[in-house]
Amino acid sequence: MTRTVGSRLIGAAITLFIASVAVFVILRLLPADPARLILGPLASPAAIQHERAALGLDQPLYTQYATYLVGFAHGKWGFDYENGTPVLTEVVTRLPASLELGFYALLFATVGAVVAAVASVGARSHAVDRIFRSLAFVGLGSPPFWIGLMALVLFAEYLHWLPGPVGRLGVGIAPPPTTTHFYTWDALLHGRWGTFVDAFRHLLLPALTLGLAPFGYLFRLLRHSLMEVSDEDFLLVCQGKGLTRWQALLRHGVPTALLPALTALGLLVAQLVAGSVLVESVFDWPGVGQLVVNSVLAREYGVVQAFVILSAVAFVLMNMVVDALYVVVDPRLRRPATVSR
Amino acid sequence: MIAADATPAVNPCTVAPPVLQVQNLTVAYGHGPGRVIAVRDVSLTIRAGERRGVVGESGSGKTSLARAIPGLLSRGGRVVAGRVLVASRDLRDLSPRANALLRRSAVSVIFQDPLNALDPVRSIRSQVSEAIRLRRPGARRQSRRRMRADVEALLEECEIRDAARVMGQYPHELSGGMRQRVAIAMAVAGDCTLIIADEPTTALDVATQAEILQMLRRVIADRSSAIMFITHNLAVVSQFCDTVSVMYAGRVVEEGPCAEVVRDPLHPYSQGLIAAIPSLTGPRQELVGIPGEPPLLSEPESGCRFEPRCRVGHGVAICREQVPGLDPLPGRSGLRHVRCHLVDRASVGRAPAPAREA
Repeated sequence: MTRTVGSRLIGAAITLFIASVAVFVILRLLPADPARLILGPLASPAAIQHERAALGLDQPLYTQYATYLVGFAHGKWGFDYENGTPVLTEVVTRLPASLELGFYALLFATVGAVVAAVASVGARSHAVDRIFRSLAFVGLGSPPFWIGLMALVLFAEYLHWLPGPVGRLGVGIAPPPTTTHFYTWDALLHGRWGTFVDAFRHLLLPALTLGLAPFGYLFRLLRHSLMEVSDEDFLLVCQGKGLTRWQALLRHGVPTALLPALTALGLLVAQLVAGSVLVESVFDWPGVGQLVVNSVLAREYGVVQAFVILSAVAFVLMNMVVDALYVVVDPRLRRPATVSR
Repeated sequence: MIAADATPAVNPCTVAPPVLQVQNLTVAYGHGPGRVIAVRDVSLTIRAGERRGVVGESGSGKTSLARAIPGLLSRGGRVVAGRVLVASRDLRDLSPRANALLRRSAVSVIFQDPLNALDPVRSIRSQVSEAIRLRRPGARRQSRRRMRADVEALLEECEIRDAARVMGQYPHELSGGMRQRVAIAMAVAGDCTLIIADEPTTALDVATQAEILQMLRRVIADRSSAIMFITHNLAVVSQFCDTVSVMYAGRVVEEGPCAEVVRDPLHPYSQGLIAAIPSLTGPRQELVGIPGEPPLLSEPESGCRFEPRCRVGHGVAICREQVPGLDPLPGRSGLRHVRCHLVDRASVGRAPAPAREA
């Protein structure tokens, strides 16, 4: 057990190291000179030289990397010159918006995928199966920003069912008091139903858009494992006990089929992070993803660097959580098999 | 003078009320030209307390029959004709829900492969208590403690040693024999009138097989359940069952009291099956197999399916052209049925059956 944990930790550390080195090196290889960017085109060469020294850019690359890493660990993530704030502050302010969006996207994707997979396998109907499979293909095959735009055109512009891309709340609606930083949860906690509905309506389209690709991925995975499980004898035995086919599928098939899907959670988080960058821009969602897009355009490398490293951390953490969960959920991994006779 | 208890014992297989009536059941898989008829026009009646063996080779339709009765055919299989009456109700008329309710109280099933018979992620206790809740009226509102005791008692009844510990275990921690005992415990959690056991011991080693058969026999006797025992092993049937149906290519070819059929098989196929059983006593004999292969069930039936392999009817015109009926044979115990045109000729040369033609 300790060995497994140890090897997982080492693996995580290696992943993080490679991610940080990669992003560091790539950003340093770009032609733009940060000192020039900060001081502007009219600065004198001497001033540039001075700024470069101040930024540590005259140091060798590995020294720069070490300095950066130590600083990152201490919360010195650099300065966001575009917004005039430290990167850390900027990211922390925007993180709740992204997390809330990601939470709902993951929720919709998971619930949707479970329902769709059960319907596809349980109904034994080609039509139902085909509909969900097409939806999954669309989700996996189309760029999320395009889906977001199309959804906006349809539901906001044309049908007027949902608000357009104006951020987390409508005009004139005050954010609820801060407890969890999630607007929907805070609104509910403080009993502001109007605010909750408004926040939820604003959240619905971006969350669905962001969740569509993970839905597609998860659905295909679940459908496959549920198909396999549904051919297993133990489901017949459960029906033999007196459950209907649906009861057996829901009570015994789904829990077993969900196990392989757990592995995918890490990948789903990666998909969500990647998707959020463009989806947030399309919906003007004040999250980290939007910040990253703006920073790339403004060549604010500090932000991009922090974002990549944070994503890598999220990915690694998620995978470790999944590994731990596996042992909790699957009795076959919980203890070594000692066969009773 | 003649009191009710002094009446001579009569065979329960002829007078007890039927618990299962299968009438002209036909089960098919697939559609169109590739359609396979796995069970063809099978009729059989099992009476209360009867132990019926169903014997046949792989692919003779016995498993399809076992699954069609409780309505648990696998994907692609369906009942295309005939009726299944359990407790005088036609299963095909029932909704899936009502069908499931009937499986709780009237028919329960034990499957062949104990390794896959249990949910891999639920504890034994959780699975057995689910069966108790479903099968025993009133058990739903039972306290946890009472349920625990019930599960333990049931497992002990099925000869699981150390039941208290096994309850907390998961299927992968149990051996095949233990898993089959758990599966049997779930099947007999209530007082089902009929238990269908589809090759319950085939996947187990011989010693375990004998133990489990003995246990199963005791457990069903305690509940006075009838059993339909499906196997390819005639030796097991002859030890375990009162009556036997021999299946070949989706049809019942011979039926009758087990002892009589084993001692004096009438259908050439049954004769072949019995000749293939090694005997532990008596002089050494070479085992005789049945030559040839079972027919392809996707091909249409014309004449007797066994004709190409039959030692009596091979090449005989009537056997090739007409499907024989499952006819009663008068003159014997009156309970025997054989599907053979040449049943009189088939018995010739087989001691100790009397040569009636001569």
